This record gives sequence, structure tokens and C-alpha cells, in this order.
Amino acid sequence: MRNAERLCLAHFSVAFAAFLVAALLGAWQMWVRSPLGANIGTPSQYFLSVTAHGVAMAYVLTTFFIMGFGYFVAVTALARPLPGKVWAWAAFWMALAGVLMSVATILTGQASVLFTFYPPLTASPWFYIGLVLVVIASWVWCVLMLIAMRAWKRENPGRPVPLAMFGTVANAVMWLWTTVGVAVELLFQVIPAAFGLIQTIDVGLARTLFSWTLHAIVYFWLIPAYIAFYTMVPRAAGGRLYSDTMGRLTFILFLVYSLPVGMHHLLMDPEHGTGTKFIQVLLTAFVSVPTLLTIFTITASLEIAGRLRGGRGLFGWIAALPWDRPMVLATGLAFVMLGFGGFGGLINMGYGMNAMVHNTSWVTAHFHLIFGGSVVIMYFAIAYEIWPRLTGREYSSLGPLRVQLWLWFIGMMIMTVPWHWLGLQGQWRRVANFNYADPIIAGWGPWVILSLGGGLVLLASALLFVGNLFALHRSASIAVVRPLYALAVHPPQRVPAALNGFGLWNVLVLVLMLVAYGWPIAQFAIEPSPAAIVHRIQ
Amino acid sequence: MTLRFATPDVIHGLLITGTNVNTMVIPGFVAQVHTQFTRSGDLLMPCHEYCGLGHSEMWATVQVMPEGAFRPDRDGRVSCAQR
Repeated sequence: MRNAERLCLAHFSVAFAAFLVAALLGAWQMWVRSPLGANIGTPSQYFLSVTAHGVAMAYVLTTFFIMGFGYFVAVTALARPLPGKVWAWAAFWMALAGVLMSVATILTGQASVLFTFYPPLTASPWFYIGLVLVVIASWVWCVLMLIAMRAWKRENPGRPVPLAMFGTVANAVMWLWTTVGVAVELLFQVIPAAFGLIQTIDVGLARTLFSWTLHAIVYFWLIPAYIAFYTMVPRAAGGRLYSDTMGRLTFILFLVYSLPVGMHHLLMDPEHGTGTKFIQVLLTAFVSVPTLLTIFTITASLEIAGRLRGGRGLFGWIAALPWDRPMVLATGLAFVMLGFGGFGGLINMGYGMNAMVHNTSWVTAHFHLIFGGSVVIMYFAIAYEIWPRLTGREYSSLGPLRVQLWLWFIGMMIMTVPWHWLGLQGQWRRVANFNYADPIIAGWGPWVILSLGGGLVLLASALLFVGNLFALHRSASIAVVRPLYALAVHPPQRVPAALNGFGLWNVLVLVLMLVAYGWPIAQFAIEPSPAAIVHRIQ
Repeated sequence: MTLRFATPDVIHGLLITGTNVNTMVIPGFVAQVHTQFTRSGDLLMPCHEYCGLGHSEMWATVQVMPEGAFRPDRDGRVSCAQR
């Protein structure tokens, strides 16, 4: 177990170190884009910073956090040693080497293509190879999660896999499917182009393959938050999980519907017809179902907790909840941000409304609110919950933890509400500066300054978060061992095989992917489009 | 009216503020947008997709004017000074 604790701490440390650097860069970017920092920084510095911010937040924070959390769940929820610890450590070092390789190319200005790439622009090949190493390491993690679940099933025939592990393995299986798109794009198109082996590239195909990955990757980041909702929050609130089956269904629906929907990122693209876009928009509507199930189930679980604590009446149970506990507080704040962000997501999803907001600040606001807000605040809560179990030390006070969570919520709202508004005004994305002398843009100035204020609050919260974890390492109190995982109101004794594994669902994913991506990808082979000349940025 | 866009080099994208004109412009493809301008005035038309280090400088102003006020020269062009 000691080795497993070190493994988790190593992953979390890399994740949150990257997070802190990225938070600093984010605040700087907002400053130079605002009227206050109009003459500061050059575009090349700005785009270098945006690339680093995106890579650190979207690839390093997430992948390392998810791997560390998965190892923790595999050891604690299954109550058995982690299989293949040597492989886990090898994957950790490989991922870290990959990150350092990518960071080196970013800092030397050879990789300012943002974290979403834009072929035919190509960066240094070592930028992509570094990221590929991170992905390969995450594949090792996926296999270890599958092996751990299989071993537990062999030892416990007929018993339902604990929900936390079921969700983790669902995420691992989904991630294996998810990474196929970007892996094919990088290995067969972008990296050969970056090395100069090929001189032209089919941009339509590259974008289609990237869209395969682009939406499901967000659910890869999101699922740890949902695992916490189902398996930790009811216990932290002093109640029980309303339904274990709802949890299983949710994770299965994420596996099935996260993948065949990526083309809603390409609604404004010319390389696909409206028919294929329509199919994927329809499927996108289904992906809101697991979130609605979750909001219902977790609210019901919290109601049970609130009533057990003496809450009365229609809403009295809400006030009776232990909001002083970081996990409960983070959940409440995450739900508010999920509400606003989810509403925005429904607008992005509509073909017609997407034309009003595509590539405007509205979209930036949407994913900062959902990922940076709801998901990352749950990463904080998970870290706060399990850090004492990893270090054996207890917080001397929960006050600074609560302040940090509130600051994150307030900062995120102050930052993203103006962004939504600016997006509706047509403020476009991914620019280093705005010309505030233009009469239309001048009117945006006060909103941009307001959002910068939110960014500074977020930076303060990020610093306090890391400070809180450092303070824990110096704390003199010894951690009290408490149960972590919630019991269901009706703990499952036996579940159908379909709710205890992923074989059937993999077949369904394959069928849906053929329906959603079969023709859109095949069309590039049947009728090749004029290829674009590769532009190497170095 | 129908607008068509193409790019000879890298990915671009554009929108026209206050309208439903919004499209990606992808090398190898022609993007087509149908729209109706309901008010005259100056609107912004920026590149909204990262296209390289000069991306932030890539923006234009669209003048929407009544049909009668549109007086192109013999080559079909209108300069800003003529409006």
C-alpha cells in the first residue's frame, strides 16, 4: 500500500504543478488581451502561452489526475493490491518524459499551434511525440484498470464490481476508443508532415479524426467528478446513494454516447454534409441523459442525507446538509456551474444557434465553466478527501479549504458570465490582442476588464489550493481513518452481466461509430479532396 | 445573399458580428453561407480560427449599404473613400 500511495501522490503532484503554472499563464493572457495590458507582450509570446496553458490544463492536469485517481480507486474500492505496479511506474515516467519533451518545444517557440493543433500548420515533431508518449502511458493505465477489475471478478464471482471501480473502468474503456482518432491523425498525418516526410495533408480528414477524440476526451476528464458524485458525496453528506443502478447506467451511457458525437465541433465546417452533421447532433442530445440522471440521483441522495440530519419540508433538507465539508460544498458549487454550463452546451449543440456562437468567447466560457468549473472543483474536492489518506495527516482547519472552493466558484462565474455576453456580441477567440480604438470593440472593454477580475480571483484560489496541500504535509494532526465510499440505499447483491462489464457496450459503440463516422471518414478515401501544403512553423 | 469563401494556405474561419454568418474556411474546400443583412452599417469580420502568429491582425470591416448606394467602379470594386 505504501508504494501505491507514493504512486498516487506522484501523479497528483505532476497534475497540480502543471495546473498552477497554467493558472498563472491564464491570468497573464487575460491581462494582455484586456484594455489594461494593451501594449504588453507580443503575439508569439501570447500564442506560446496559450499553447502551454491548454497543454497543461487539458492534457497534463487531467491525464495525470485521472491516472492517479484510478490507481487510488483500484486499491481502495477493490481492497486488493494493484497489479503491475512496475508498469504503472514505467508509464508514469514515460508520461513525464513526454510532458517535458513537449514543454521544451513549447518554451522554445517551436510548438505554438495551441493544444488542439491546426494542420496544415505543424509544430516541431517532438511536440507531438511528447504528447503521444503521454497517451501511450494512459493506455498502460487503461490496461492495468481492466486487469485489476478482471482479477477482482475472478476472486469474487457473481458479485457486482464496486461502483467507483465500475466508473473508472468505464472511463478507461471509453478512453481507449477516444484516443484512436487523434492517434491516427498524429501518427499518419501530422507527425510525418512535421518530419518533412510528406509535403501535403488532407485537412478535412485530419479535422474529422480530431473531432472523433475531441468530445469524448471531455467526458474522460469529467467522469472522475461523476465517480465522486456517486461514490463519495452521499457518504460525505452523511447519507446513502439513492441508486447504485443509476450510477452504472450513467457510466455506460457515457461510454456509449460520448464517442459518436464529436462532429458537433464541426457544424460550421465545409467538409461534411448536413446529413452526417444531423445524425451526430441527434446523438449529442442523448449525451445529456447521463448528466440529467446524475443530477436527479445525487440530489435524491443529498435529500436523504438532509432528512437524516433533521431537515424538514420541501427545501429544509438543503439547509440541513453539512455545507462545511469540502466535498459537499464543492458538489453544490459544481452543480450550479454545471447548470449554467449545461444550458450553454445545449445552445452550442443546435445547428442554427451554433452559427451565432461558433468560435466566439461564448465557447471559451462554456468549456471553462464546465471543465474548469464543475470538473476541476471536484478534482479539488477529491484531492482534499484523499490527501489525508495518502499522507496520514489531517487538516488543522477546514476553513481555508472552504475559502479556496468559494473563490474558485466566484472567480469562475465572474470570468465566464462576461465571456458568454461578449461571445453573443461576436467577440472572437484565439487572438493575442484587440484593437480597442475600434468603436465596436471599445464597448467590450469594461466586460473584458471584469472577466480579468474573475481570472485574478481564480489565480488566488489556485495558489491557495496548492498552499492548503502543502500545509497538510506540515500538519501535526494524524488522520482519522473514515470510510470513504457511500453505501447504496439498496446495496446491490447481484447485477446483470450487462451492468457488471463492458462487452455488450463495446459492440454498441462500434455500431454507433460506424453509423456516425463510417461515411464521414470513408468519403475522404472515395473522393479525395485537394490536399493542403504543409506549413511548418519553425 | 450567398457568400463563398476559400483559403489557399492554412485553416481560417470568419464571422460577421451581429449576423448569422459564421463558417470555417478549410484548405481544399469552398465554404458557403446564405444570409440576409437587415440593417446597414459597419460590421466586424474577423478571422476567428488560429491561423498563425499573425492571426490577431486578420480582421476586416464589412459595410452593409442600401442597394442604391452601392456604386462599384468599372472593375466592380468599391473603395472605402467612395461611400
